[in-house]
Amino acid sequence: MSRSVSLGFLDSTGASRTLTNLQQLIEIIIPRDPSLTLPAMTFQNVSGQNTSSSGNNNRQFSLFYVNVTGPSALITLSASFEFKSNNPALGFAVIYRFDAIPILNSSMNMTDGGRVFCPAGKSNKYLIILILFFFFSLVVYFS
Amino acid sequence: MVDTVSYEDAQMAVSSIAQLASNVLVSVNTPMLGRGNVLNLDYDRANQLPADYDTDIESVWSNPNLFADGDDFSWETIQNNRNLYYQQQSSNQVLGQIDDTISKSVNVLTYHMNVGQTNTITTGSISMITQKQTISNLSSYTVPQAAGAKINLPTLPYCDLLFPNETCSDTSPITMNVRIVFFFFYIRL
Repeated sequence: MSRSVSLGFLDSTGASRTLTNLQQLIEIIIPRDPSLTLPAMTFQNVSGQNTSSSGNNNRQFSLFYVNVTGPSALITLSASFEFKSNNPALGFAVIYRFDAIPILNSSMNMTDGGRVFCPAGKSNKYLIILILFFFFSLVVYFS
Repeated sequence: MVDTVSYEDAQMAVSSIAQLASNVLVSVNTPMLGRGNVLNLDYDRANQLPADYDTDIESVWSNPNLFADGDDFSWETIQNNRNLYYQQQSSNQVLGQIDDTISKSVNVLTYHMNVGQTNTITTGSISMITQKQTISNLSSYTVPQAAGAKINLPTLPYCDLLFPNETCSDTSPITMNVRIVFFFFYIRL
């Protein structure tokens, strides 16, 4: 289900008025689905990762697996992945792949996409939200 | 019209029209969300060979790939998906018509409202707040919430922006309409 929010201005005769060349932006806050329950954030040490850490299957990335099988193949689904860095000086590389485990190193790039986030230099809010929209995909892995 | 129809009458009519539009929107969304069955007649009509099949070279019927599910070209799958295809077509069409209906209703409502009045409409798929204010009130104003959607207006010369090259004073009336619509928009990949 999609939701659209619109704001319109009408004059005394009921004709709509246009607003152009705004020097300041109008802020529109679109609410989340109220029935959505958000899981609590968990703390994870990701700076200690290296290729030889067997706990992570010798991968350089921390793997997260999200199953997004929907109730009907027709429904568009989105997954949002939210994380907040404890150390704003640290940058993060986020890669993802649908239906398989992503691998990214100097010789292999088996991902469906990725981004580098650098919290420092942004404002004091380090909350990063990565949203992926997909159709008919069943499984997504984040690293 | 404004002299012969009261605000209350206009409000009542708009409220009923919005309720009707909302019901239509919910019903066209239902089969696509897999939350309800399609009427037999709709299903039959969707799977009736179009009258212009022989002459319309762009007919969707000529392209079974549109309706097949991967390698599944079975008759049942094609029929089901063809039905859904037509449901999606009508849904997108209805969405435009509803937008048109609501815009016209708001138009009428605006005409009859007095400054300071707020009208709220909450239905299953449309939430809407219409408020008439004077222009001077718009600066750094938080528009009342419609289904949780919050809008903050910055401090701006609204008179110059909304009524350029026209007479406008701080007491000129202006109507704000915040609408939140829940719908199923279908994009074919």
